[in-house]
Amino acid sequence: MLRLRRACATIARGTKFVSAGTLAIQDSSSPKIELLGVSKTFATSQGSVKALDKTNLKVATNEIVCLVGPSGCGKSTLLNLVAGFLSPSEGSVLVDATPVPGPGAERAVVFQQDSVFPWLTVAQNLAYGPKARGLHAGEVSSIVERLLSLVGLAEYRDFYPLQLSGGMKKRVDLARAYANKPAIMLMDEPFGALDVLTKEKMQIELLRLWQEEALTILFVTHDIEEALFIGDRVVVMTPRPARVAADVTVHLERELDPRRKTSADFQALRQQLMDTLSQNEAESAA
Amino acid sequence: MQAEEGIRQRTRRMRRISLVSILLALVAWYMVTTEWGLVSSLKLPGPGRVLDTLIEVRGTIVQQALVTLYRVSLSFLAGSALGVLVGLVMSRFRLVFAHLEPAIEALRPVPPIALIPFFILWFGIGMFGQVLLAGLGCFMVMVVSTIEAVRNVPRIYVQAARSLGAEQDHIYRTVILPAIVPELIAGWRVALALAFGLMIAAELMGAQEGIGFMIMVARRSLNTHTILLGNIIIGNEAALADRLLHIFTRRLTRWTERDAERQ
Repeated sequence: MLRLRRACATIARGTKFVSAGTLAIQDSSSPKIELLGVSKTFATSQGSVKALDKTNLKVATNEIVCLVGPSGCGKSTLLNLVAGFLSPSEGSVLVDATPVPGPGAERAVVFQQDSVFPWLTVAQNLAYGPKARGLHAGEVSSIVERLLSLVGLAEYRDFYPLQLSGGMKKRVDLARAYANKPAIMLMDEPFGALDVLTKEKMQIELLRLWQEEALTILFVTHDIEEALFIGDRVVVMTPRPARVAADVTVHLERELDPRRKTSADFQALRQQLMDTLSQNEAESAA
Repeated sequence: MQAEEGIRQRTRRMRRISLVSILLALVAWYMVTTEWGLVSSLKLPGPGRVLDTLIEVRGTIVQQALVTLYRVSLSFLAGSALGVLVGLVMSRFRLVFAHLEPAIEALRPVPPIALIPFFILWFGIGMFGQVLLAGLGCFMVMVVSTIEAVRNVPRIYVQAARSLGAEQDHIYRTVILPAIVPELIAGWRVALALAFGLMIAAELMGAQEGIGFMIMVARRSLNTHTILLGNIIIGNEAALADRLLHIFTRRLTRWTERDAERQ
């Protein structure tokens, strides 16, 4: 408890430094995603492991919330609970105030690993979601055309994923997830395997998509810079079992220029989050 | 481009090497049996004798070979298609799995050859029993291969499909089925070779036609050159069928690394 209070205090000081007097968005009336006292325990051969411990989290409509924390802390577990791949051991996971029934097309997921179907061409991959939902061939092909030009892959429509670079595959992945016009995008370290430049491009592409369309994004990353660049809020998790250690609203200019990552404000906030993270880790180790 | 040219050149060289080794084996066969006469022609007929036999019986032997090939194809296609289907259904529905698994596991170690007397008793010495026997062998191989292949499909593809709005049956058709094909190839090749083996065994034990039947008849009169000819024909038919299978499966696995590298 003490640990949590101290972390919050640190953050409170920091946010004041960046900008004062802005209302935190999570206080708005009906959150898009809400976790209420959610715990998740896994049974393994070495006994049970608690990945998530009475976690509360609210994400407002059209908000981007980034989850950061030490690796293996349970960030992905939280994401998988919202995705519906897992169900909570305790507490409830709500989307639009309704418990998540299981995976669904309105909550698209982008994984870190390559999940583009290798046996389908680029165009067939993009068509997968709309087809699975039973749209007409005409509708499907117009969605595919739009997405192909949106992510700049029109020339590669008949290529198999094997013939694409890592960055192109990620773009296919992103476009495929978006093909169903989801209200929520759940992203689990989606750009973790990309090189720095490609990663930056993808971040900008994601933000552009988010600016154009109504989208709520829950984004797991271990890269604090990425979290600050993309997120409206950055939620810091404790080491396993994960709880929310700090919840920071990012009041920085929302520009699509990656150079702002090197600004003083940005770096100050980054340092502060780093401190919170390492403090957490040290305390849990003690 | 250069790398591709290199691969093609290497493939050509490998083919030449294979051709030379076949020729060497033929020459060795000729020397041992005919030139040096180290083995009596009854125990191992020479190539000349076998060639003479081929010319002598060419009319009937083509027909016998086609009969066997037809039966093998039928049992392979039906047996392995049914095997893949049952394997998929068993993977999809736990209840079906629980019902069928013990029976399949108990039957699987039994060599189908041991069942031939029963098959003759039940179905006579017509084609039906023989196709059923070889088909059973293919079926067993493919059920097991399919169940294992489904288990090996990366979970992430299934999760991706689910979050894209696909229902379980749709996922089986559009994700599981294409994803297991590369792994099924090994099973198909084993099943095809097994189908040839079982078919010859069935024809040996009781049939009215086919290469196995021909070998059986030749055996009664110690007609070893015909027996050897039958074996050579079976070997070539099986190799040809394997080649066709390879061409067919390559079309199905255009998207995999194994083929991207070799083409």
